[in-house]
Amino acid sequence: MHRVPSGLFWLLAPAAIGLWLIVAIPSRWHGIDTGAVGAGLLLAAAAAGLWLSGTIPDDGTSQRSPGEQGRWVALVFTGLIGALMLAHAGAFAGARTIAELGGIGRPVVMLLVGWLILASIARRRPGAGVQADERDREVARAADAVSHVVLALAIVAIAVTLGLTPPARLSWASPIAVANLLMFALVAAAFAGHGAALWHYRRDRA
Amino acid sequence: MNATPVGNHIRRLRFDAGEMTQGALAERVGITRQTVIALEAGRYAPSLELAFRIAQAFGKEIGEVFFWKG
Repeated sequence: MHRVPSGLFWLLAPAAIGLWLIVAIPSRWHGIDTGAVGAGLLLAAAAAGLWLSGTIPDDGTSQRSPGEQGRWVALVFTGLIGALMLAHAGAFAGARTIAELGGIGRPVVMLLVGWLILASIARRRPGAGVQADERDREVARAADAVSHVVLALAIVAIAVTLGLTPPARLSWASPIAVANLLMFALVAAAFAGHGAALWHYRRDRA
Repeated sequence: MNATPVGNHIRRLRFDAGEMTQGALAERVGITRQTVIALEAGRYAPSLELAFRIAQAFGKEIGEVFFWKG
């Protein structure tokens, strides 16, 4: 077993502050977009973590394939985006224009773009070897099936809620709120898919 | 994928091939080392193509590497 660089533990502090800035603080503070600052801090911590983890030599004992590691990262990012959307559910329900949600939308987009960039860098790391094989593709198929079922159930639940609830009780359901509810369903389905993939990887090792 | 009915002699064949590492076999057949671990543990049944490639890596017939446990 190689020692994990202590720098990785130090990164937890800026990552936690970034998360706090995104979720707990109002989107603007003294004119500063705290969501964007938090997302930037979180992404910087993730990039530094990726670089530091690349300095740990592979001693041939790691039980987690690159595909599984990528799924863990995807699970964390989709979880963060889902948590961010849940934490600001009230703002989504009350919004009448998309401009009102800029403070929440920016960190979400930053997290999405940052995740794609980090995943791309991780795949191209020198000496990374085979990144995915037929077992990863089989796990991906099973995960996609779970994701598909969760998405279908969520869409049906939203449709039934909107269709059967008396209009007087649907004051929250502005076009913006429904659009964000559909986006949340997509994030939840992706989260369930990544979770299912990790369960399959774990089962292969059991 | 759990407890597949397809067994294999990969671990013994690696030993016979000069104690070839799991990483070396993985690199030779184009899979991850973790898939070799899953194969050896009997947790994953390879595709026919991968089974042929693994057999070829050891210079064996496919039936000498894989067998049906039922």
